[in-house]
Amino acid sequence: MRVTLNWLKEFVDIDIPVEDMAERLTMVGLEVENLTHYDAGLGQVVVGHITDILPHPHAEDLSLCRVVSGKNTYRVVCGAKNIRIGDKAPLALEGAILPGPLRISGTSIKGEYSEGMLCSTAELGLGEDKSGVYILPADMESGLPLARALELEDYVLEIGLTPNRADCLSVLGIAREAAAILHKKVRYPRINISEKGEDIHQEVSVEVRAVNLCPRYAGRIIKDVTVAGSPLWLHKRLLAIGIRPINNIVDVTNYVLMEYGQPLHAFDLKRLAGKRIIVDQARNGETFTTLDGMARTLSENMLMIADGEKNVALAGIMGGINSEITTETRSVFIESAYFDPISVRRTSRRLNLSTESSYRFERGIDMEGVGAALDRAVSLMVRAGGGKILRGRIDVYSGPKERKPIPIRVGQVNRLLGSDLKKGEIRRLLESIGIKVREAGKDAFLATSPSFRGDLSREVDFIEEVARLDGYEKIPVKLPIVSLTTPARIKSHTVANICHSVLNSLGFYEVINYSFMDERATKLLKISGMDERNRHVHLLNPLTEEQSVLRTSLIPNLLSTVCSNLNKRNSNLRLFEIGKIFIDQGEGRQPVEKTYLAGMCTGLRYPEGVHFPGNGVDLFDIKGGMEAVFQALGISGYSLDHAVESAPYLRQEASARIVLGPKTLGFVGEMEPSVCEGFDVKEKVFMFELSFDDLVEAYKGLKVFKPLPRYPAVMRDMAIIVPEDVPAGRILRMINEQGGNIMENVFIFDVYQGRQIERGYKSLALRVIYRSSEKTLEDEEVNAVHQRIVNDILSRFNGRLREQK
Amino acid sequence: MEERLQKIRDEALKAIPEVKGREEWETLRIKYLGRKGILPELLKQMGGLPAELRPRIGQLANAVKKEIEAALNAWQSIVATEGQAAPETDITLPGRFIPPGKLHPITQITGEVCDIFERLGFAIAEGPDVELDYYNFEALNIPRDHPARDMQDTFYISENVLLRTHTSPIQVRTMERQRPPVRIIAPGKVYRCDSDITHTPMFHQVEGLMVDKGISFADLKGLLTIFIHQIFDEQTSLRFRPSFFPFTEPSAEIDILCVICRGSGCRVCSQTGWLEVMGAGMVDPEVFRMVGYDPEEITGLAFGMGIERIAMLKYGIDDIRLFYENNLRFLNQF
Repeated sequence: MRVTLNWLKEFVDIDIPVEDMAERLTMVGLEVENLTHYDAGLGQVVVGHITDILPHPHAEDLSLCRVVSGKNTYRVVCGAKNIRIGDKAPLALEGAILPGPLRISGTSIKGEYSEGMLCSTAELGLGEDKSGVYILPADMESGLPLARALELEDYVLEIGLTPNRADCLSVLGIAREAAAILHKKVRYPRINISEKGEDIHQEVSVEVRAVNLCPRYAGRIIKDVTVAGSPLWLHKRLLAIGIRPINNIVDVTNYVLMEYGQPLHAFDLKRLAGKRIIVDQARNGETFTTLDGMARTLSENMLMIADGEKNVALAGIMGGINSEITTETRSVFIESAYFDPISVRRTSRRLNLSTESSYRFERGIDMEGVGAALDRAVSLMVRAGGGKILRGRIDVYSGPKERKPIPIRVGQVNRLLGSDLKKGEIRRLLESIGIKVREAGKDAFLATSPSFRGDLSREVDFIEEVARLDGYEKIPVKLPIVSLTTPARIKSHTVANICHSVLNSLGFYEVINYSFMDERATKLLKISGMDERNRHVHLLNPLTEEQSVLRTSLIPNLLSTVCSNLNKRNSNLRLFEIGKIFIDQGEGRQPVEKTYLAGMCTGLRYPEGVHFPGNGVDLFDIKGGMEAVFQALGISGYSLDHAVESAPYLRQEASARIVLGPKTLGFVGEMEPSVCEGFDVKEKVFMFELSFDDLVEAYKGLKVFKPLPRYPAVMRDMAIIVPEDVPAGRILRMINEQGGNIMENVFIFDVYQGRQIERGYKSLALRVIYRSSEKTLEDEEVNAVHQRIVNDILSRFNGRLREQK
Repeated sequence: MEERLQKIRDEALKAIPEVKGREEWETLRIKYLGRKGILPELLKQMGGLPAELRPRIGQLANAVKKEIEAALNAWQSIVATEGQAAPETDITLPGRFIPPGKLHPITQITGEVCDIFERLGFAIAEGPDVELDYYNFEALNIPRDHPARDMQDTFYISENVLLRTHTSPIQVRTMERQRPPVRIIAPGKVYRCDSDITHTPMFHQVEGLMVDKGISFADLKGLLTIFIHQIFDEQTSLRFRPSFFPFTEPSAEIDILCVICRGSGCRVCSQTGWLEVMGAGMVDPEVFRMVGYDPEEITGLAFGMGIERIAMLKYGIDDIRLFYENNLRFLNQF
């Protein structure tokens, strides 16, 4: 909502600087988002005094003027014929930017230098007249900026209104707040109407058929009006708040809309068939062309204004082109009504047509203000366009409803605010904005809100008024006094924190991607039709096709993030994300939300520099990251298998499924190059993805102390040759199973395939560590166990010992 | 003999501090202490001395030798600290480590915010990203066809299912489950169909709710003052400004003095000197009624903030979209 300072000053004496007024309005809840000085775009346009006019030596239709402005004298070439010596006229000087836009600079016109331009009202954007230079009143002081001389200078306050303050969608509404702030009274406009001629009821009849959608419909008629451009007083106000002037009649409706917050509509009376107005709902499928020239298809719940034959307006939203005011219009019917907020809102949304008018009806206008705004409008129309106001006023209205007084308890005010306000202060604050207050016992009132404050219907609404008018800054600052409780810690947060620190310490950066993805993403991942990740949740109103469904996997967006980083020359990447995926459960139902943890890496294993080799990352870097997570969470007993059909985006030969008990926890592996290509990634990418929900479930957070070893450990190495397709993991598992209680640890320290080993075989070197918690182990004891393990491995896996050299 | 030793000592101690450069130092060292240097040569002549003199001269010779060595070492260490002498290990080479990754700034700020309230006894609560219209709007006193719905551009999945536009539905879900007192802090992703330099279609909020007997607006002011001082700093000025949210009454917006211009007015604060950082208020009785709480029995305060906004102000980030580009050069700054 925009208002100007001068407009406000018509209704309330503002005796503080405009900056302070803006601040005070903000602090009662009318946030002034912008305060700008307004000069009608007339910087560098001044009042000039024409002291001489000579013919242009080289052009018959031009003249050469001497124009004095203040202390300076200018030579100006002019083409207008209406200027006389001694006239005052607007002079645009070097640097002025006129609407158009036209930038003024000194220039030669047919060989004569001109230092500026004498302007018409049209050139200044102050009217329609292009016929000649705008001749200013003779007593205007030469040299003054034109904006000041015409009293166009003003301040524009742009106020961000919250949806509850429909009453402030008007200059008067804001003036009421300003008056309350400044402890002043509002001066409402004095409306003088002199009615002439026939009674309005002979000229038009109004029938409201949809009373529930239109509880009040009022109208007046003006005859013998002259439709033309608006006078300056009207024109300048509209321009200042950014409304394009059209003609005097339409401009007045807009003026009163802004002043009173009451939307009005002016019909050309002659074009209303049968001298009738019917307010009723539309018939389905009808079309109607609104003032903006758009043909709109109506549906039956839309409220329309019709005449004896046809629709003439979309009630409360926009008029029709078939009854619009033109320069030929001589008689005008002005409508002032109350239309149902919900009905207007639905129609406006349905047609995607929002206007200043619909905006106000949606929020609820002042039912009791309908008549005053109408009278204000006709009085201004006569002032701006002549003509006569017919006798009488149409007003289809059942009369004001009595508003219920609401009990306000002083104790409740202070209980909710934590303040210590006295009864008298509360009363004064409420009355300052027009609330009627009646005593009701020792510590209570009965408060009745004015008709324009439909938002005040409960005690708490009035308490808020007290708080904001007194000022939030006056409410004390305290701390709650409450009983201690033990807030529960969410287990998933603990698990997330552990994952964060482990992955960070391994060099993984956390990313956060959008929950949206491209519907085609799962196809790019080669995920088959039956997979639940193809059960996409579709947005009805997506912003782009790339964000049209909710993600069913973290992988596509992660891969896109890899791509965008590679494109920015960030080539060594270790990324992870913990986020939700969404699986559709059918129309009208909430999807299942699952949380996943995924990691991805590509590029070099180590930072570039003096200490590290320049190897690229491989499968074991990502697997290591995943294993570190398991270790930190104390999750063991998971296994890997090759059943990776459900991860077709991984290379079959370099990937695995992670299984824990009956559950698939996730996958680890190298991304299939053809999948990467779909995301414009040419580098090798490795990833893991795990069900975070399952990790949380598996996490026990148990830590149990085992006594430190008291007896020495004994190490035994073995070097064996086994067929190359024997997984090392199986050998390790076997050793773990067979080592008994004296086997403490086992690990592989070398894997070799090459010249010294025959094809189809590989050499594994393992170290087994034995220790007893009860005694120092004897060599024989260890040897027996170790030998048995070696023998079992060799026979089970068809291997042999590698000869020592 | 004694005199000669004294003379050698004096000469050497005079010459050593004058040494310029390592080569000269080495020459001097060899001259006095080298295998064929002056001192060893002199000591060889000890054999020719009378036996009763030998111990005394020997002691003296050793003392002189030590003094010269000390002077030579002292010179060396001075030069080393001046960085002229090359040490055997170049300690200035970088240390060896794999640089740790970092958490996304949104995760970091969310953690900071939650920590502050957890220390005040708030429990973390969560809710679904895909919500029912009821929880996102109706239970929060935003009926259908109410203009307050325009405050938030909603992504719809179907007529009654939508992406939550704020974390406030978690308030309702928590109150439905639990009797008062309630003290929760609820972080999460939220969605609005809007995309420009100050809006992304997904962003993060943290919501707080405290319901108990006798909670007042004064308590809200106190609690949020503590919070602002902790998340920014103790010097941060703040103000409570009347505003409107359908689920609180009275409602407030919390502004902090502009972190860029300190209140004098700049582009970031649109010349107002203040920056909006949070919305808050006293829980509307209507919301309590919807979850079956008696507003005559208890009162409540609620507040919410955008994490991106806090992060942008704290770190001076000027484009919200950077958070979701996940450029490593952005992520590694926090």
